[in-house]
Amino acid sequence: MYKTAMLTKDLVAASSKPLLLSILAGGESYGYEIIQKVRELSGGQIEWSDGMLYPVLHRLERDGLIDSEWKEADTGRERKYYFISSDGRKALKTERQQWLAVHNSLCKLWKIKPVSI
Amino acid sequence: MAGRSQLPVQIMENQTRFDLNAAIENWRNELAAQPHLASDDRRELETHLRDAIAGFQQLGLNDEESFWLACKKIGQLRQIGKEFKKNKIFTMNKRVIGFGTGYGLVTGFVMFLVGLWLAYRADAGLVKLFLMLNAPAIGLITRLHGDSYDWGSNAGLLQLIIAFLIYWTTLGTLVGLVLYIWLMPPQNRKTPKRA
Repeated sequence: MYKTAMLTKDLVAASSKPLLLSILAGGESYGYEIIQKVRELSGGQIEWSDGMLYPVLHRLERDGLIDSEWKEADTGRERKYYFISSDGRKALKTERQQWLAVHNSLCKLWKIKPVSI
Repeated sequence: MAGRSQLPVQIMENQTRFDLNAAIENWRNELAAQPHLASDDRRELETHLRDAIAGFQQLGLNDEESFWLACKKIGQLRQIGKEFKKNKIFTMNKRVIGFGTGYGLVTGFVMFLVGLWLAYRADAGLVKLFLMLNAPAIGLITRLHGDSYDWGSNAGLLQLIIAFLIYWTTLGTLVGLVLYIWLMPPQNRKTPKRA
């Protein structure tokens, strides 16, 4: 059976911002849950080193695109939840347009039906 | 022969002897040894480790397997520390430059107004203090122009303002740097705002 290769390191790094913003646009989340979600969405093709997620999240937070707060989960354990800010939503809109522009260009080249932006 | 027959028993003992809390404690100590991680960062990473361990345990793995796999997933702590360091340096630079420039511009302007006020009041003690505070800026101008410097002309006034701004901005940046290192906590939290 044909097996799709894992994404390259550069592509994983470049896609981390839109992925994180998109996940958080769907609702607040915490590190472990985000990692699980990305793995599930990508069918295991995007493998983030768990520990490396946090510097990325902190960078987005520093840029004002997301915010965070410690909250008690159902299990009683405290977790740091991240949520998207209004600037983050704007940034996500731009990211979406840019990624779809790349996607559509490739679709035309490979003769696949493009997605409307 | 006797030693060989005890081997499986020893393995079983080792398995039951694995202390998950002690292993987490050791991991936490290793994490604490990373210089660029704030207590909040360490707390967050430990929460992640515990979540990952719980996830593997739910899949049916024992404590030891779950712990080692969770550690592996989190990655090398030294590498994580390096990534956090990159963030920290960038944030620090931005804050110091912003604070220093703002502080310098404001104080430079205030000092200029104080200078004007003193010129009218002409209190010898205050003038002396003012000149001492601004000695580097005034010294810079007199060094460039010598005794021929015309303090009263518009060009002279402009140069004086620029010299004050350069002097106070430089000083402000240095003060900002010292204050940042001395006073600012690693996680300077702002009030979260939901979109």
